[in-house]
Amino acid sequence: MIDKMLDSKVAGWVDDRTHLIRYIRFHLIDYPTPKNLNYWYAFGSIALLILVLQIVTGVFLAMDYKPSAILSGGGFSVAFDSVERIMRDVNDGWLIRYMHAVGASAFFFVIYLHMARGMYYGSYKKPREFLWMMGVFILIFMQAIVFFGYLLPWGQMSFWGATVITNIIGAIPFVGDWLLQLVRGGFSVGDPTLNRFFALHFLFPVLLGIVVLWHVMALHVVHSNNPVGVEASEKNIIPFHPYYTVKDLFGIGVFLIIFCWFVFYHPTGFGLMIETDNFNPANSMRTPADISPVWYLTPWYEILRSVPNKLLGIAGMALAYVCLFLLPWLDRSPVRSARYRPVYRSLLLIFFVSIVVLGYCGHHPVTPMLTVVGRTASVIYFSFFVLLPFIHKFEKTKPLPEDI
Amino acid sequence: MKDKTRRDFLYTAASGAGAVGTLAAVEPFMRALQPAADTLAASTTEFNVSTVAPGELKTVAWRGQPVFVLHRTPEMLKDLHGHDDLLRDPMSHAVPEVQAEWMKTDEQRVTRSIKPEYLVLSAVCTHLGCIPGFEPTPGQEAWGNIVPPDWPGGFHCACHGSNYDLSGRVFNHVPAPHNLHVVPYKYIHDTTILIG
Ligand code: FES
Repeated sequence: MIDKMLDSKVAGWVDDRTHLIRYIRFHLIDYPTPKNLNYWYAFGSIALLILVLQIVTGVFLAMDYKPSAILSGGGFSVAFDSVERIMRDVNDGWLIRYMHAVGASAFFFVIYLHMARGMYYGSYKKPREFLWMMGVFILIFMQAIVFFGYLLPWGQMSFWGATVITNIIGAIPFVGDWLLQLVRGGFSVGDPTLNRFFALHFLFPVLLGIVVLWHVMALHVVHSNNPVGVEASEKNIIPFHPYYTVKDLFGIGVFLIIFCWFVFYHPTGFGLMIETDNFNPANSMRTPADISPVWYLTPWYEILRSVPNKLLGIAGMALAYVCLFLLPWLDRSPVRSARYRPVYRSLLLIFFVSIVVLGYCGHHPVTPMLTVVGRTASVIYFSFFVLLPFIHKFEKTKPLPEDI
Repeated sequence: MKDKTRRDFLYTAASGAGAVGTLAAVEPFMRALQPAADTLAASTTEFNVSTVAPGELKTVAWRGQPVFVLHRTPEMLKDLHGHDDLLRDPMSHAVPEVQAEWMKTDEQRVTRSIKPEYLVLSAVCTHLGCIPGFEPTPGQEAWGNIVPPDWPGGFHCACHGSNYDLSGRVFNHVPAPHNLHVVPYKYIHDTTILIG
């Protein structure tokens, strides 16, 4: 059917003038893939689907949302009221908003798994270094986008989360104060902040979409790695369509079942995806007893919190991202997949655990006990990157197969 | 040859002018992001401190940000002494924001207020801007282990666990770098202050 459509006269006419059909064939149909990709490779397609969902639901929400912190007749703010209006009065507004909120969490969940897969199978190594760095950039970009978005409901967590995070910018030496006012548009987070964050929350996802397209196009230059990590020979290469279109669609189906379960039964994600305190309108005179960011930001937040010094804490958090960027150069082993690298494999699994532990600590209020745990996990996080350049010297890798 | 250097020169000059022009065009956008005139318009807040009962803490809004007004009892004032070793900057010297012109004597640097009993300080944690909680009684009994065992009474910021004493002086080994900032204020009447 698809072949027939792409071979039709109309398609040919368009292709002669735009190369559109050629692009479709190149990226979605003929794209040569190793035949041994497992379901871990479906997360890229799933993430793409979520991006589209976020943009569609976001545009619809923007039609009813009002970015104003001015007090409304009811004593709350215009923004807070407009979100409640979406929830109660706009037809199916609740559904669209919950899809958007759960979608944000789903996006991060899927991206983290996508990255974990890349680390496990060594997909960041030559020639895919740039692809990996684009990915880390996309992660940071996504975190900026959710940070803008989380302010919009103008609840307690919105307000105090934005206050704390913008203050991080203010701590940058020399230009901090200037930059802080530039971001906030005032002495503190307020109406001007909300307005500009809304504008940026609308713009940035569009830019993200462009970067993501570039990420996919770059992948199609260097081609997919595979679980074995060696180049596949000609006979083990299959076209993307129908083999992986179908496999990815199955993955998407499973994902959507879980996604819908959350949207319909646990839209706040047990207080993790929309924090309970955010159902209280923002109050600049009172910080909630326990403020912590949404779950997908907590590991980075915990690194910040582990260092008992403002500037060093921020530097630590920045370094955590820098390490990810440098991963392709820190790891010097010629073998890609962790399947054949026992030492790397153990270290990597410990590294994954440290991130989960960091996330757990970052989500809970500080206690002496959790501080120790959080600091230990931070040390493990960085130790992974410190050890990485040396392990190839003593690691006895398992023999690699000739072909996949 | 001569033609070539002439071209190189023109090329450099033109792209240089283009770059300068582009940079200049960025400037108005940067300015537009800075706080607008109405946001900046200085504002002041009047407050009658006699409405705060001894031992009580009130939070006043000034420029959209909270200011603590604490009525300290004589015991609280006495308790300000004797824990200097716990503090990072007991005499408030570190940065201009933690000091004021009227802080002349050592005693004023300890009490950090014009009238010792009425402490007026910015309520914004110098770490990342949360508002600390008020935990005045000494020891851990009332607050549990979120405060250190030798807690002299003060403010605890739950966000990342910073501690300040009852003069807003920051403890050692916490994320907050400085004492709570002093806000500009003066007494315009025996019990009325003007903040700002
Ligand atoms: S904001 Fe108070 S400790 Fe971080």
